[in-house]
Amino acid sequence: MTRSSRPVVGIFGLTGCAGDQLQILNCEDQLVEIAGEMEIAHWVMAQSENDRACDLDVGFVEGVVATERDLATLRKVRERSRFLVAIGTCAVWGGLPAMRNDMPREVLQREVYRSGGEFLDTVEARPATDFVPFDFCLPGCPMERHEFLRLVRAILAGTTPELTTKPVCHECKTRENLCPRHLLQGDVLRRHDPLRVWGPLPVPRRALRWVPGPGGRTQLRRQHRHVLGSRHRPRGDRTSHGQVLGAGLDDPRSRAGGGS
Amino acid sequence: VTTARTVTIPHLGRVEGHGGITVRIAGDRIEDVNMDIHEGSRYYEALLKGKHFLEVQGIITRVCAICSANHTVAALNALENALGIEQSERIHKLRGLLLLGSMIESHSLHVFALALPDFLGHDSIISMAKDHPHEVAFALRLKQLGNRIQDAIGGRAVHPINTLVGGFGTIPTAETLRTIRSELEEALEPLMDLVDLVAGLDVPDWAAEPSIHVALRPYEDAYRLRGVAICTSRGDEFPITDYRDVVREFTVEHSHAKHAALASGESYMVGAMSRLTLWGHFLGGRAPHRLRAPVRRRGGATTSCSTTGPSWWNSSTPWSAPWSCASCSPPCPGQPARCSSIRSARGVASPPSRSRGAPCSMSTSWMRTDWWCRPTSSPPPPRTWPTPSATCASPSSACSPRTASSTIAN
Repeated sequence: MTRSSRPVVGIFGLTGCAGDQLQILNCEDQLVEIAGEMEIAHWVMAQSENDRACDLDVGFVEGVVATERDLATLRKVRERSRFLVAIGTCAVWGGLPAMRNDMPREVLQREVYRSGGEFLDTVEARPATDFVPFDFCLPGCPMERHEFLRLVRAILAGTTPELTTKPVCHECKTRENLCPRHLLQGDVLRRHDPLRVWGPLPVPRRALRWVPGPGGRTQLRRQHRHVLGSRHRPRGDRTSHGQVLGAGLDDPRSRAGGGS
Repeated sequence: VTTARTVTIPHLGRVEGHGGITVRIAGDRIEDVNMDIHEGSRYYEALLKGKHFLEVQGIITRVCAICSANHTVAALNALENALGIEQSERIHKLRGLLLLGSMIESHSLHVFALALPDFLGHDSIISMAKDHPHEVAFALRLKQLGNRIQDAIGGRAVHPINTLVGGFGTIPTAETLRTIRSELEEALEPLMDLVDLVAGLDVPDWAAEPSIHVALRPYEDAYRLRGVAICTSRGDEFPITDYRDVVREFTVEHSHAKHAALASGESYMVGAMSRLTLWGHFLGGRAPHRLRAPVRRRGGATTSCSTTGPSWWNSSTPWSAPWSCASCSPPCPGQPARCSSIRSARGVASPPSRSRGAPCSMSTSWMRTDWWCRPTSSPPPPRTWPTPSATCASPSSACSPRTASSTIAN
């Protein structure tokens, strides 16, 4: 049961650096406006009057579960929240605190606290998503402000956020950063990176074309003629003129079909 | 009737991290106050073991988000010391700017978003915005400015990525730096107005004052965040590499966070207050004037920052440090002879000479570094180590650094 017409929101931090809660505070331009559109019932980091029992429309959870107390908090938050959002890499995947899960906690404890740490409430650091179901995940260390704002706006509007169509590399390229993948192109990459550590071979820009895809949506796809190897050939290769492309080429699929 | 009871505050609001307070009261006497930090342990010291040195800053910066730039610079300084890399002037200054950006951001967050609502009777900065819209708007703008500086130098506002061992991935352009400068100049005037608001707050008279302040001796005769030695308000001075001897860490049963005390067992204070107490006389620009100018309290009475500040702010000219040397008249604010004897006993009269050494083999073509691994024919001169005179009989530059301040005080 919500207490007002505005959505009731809670922001919770488990074990972590509070970077994702700080990113919320870092939305300086939108903070007051957004906070006016929702009712923040629980945010220990930023307010002193916190409701510990009310039902929440949206709960944001940051950090890893590294203590029994964290787990209890997380379970309670899941019960209270209609939507639960994991913010930050720690909550989604475990992040840095989960980096040394190959070592037992006692060893780590001895390393840091010497002999005086037996009283510690400590369990293997695991992401919050391991324990309870989440509705949305916003990874990133810390999460990106605009992604958070986009999610909040979508939730306030009663929809789900639209996923970005930009490739991961987009922003890096527009900043004209040198990319190690592009320094190692073609033969160099084949020779030096046979295991594809740097990812797949870069596809020349010319090989990509906007083509009609399923559901009438336009897709950026590889044009089959220039593609390296024929296994990338899309099905139903017809140009806008209805011509079947590659009909004269050696097509392993058609050969297999003809043989059966 | 003596009744024993316990007051427990499970979660402290408006604090970064997780903490609570337990107070044990017997009758009308408080027996014990425990601050419990129940943040889970992340074991950063153990996480670092076995990692490549280039990964260290990326790990260490995630200790804390609010002060991530400071952790980064500390880690880089340690690594560069270990590798014998000396920072070029440009790298040193840019890192200083990064630290200042971090300080602007974290202090405006702390003062306006975390602390001030308590004093003004509000729940949070968001509810404070209704009563103090201009102040909150400016506070957020100031915070944003700090973030923008970190963004320009460190690559992003939280957990910088542009900082590397020996340099930066990308050096910010002159245009960026000029923009930052003009924005900082713009923010100065409204900031001075906010000093009134903060200085006019009522500080409860039962608030305990720390007995010992600890801050780093600045690397030059100015108010700086980075330093070359650990100084206490008692007049002790220790080389930074001895920090494990100066500060002892120990665990307490009620808290996940380790406690720290001086080797003598006394608690001490660090941070902005301690820096101001020890090195406030180095403040330049308008800060010394503003500290002494009268401000109006919220009740209407007039006071000045110096009544709420350390007692030595009130003393008439010249500004005297709390550990002023007794053998001089008028008291000399330089380091007493004691610390120079400590220093010479420890053999740190000059900074350890760091040679450039053999060319290192870690050059990576896609990292643009400033001088990293580039042999130079004339290495930059080593940073001057402030040498206090042993007797203070003749005021040297290190012994009386306050000549400029004393003329403008009052």
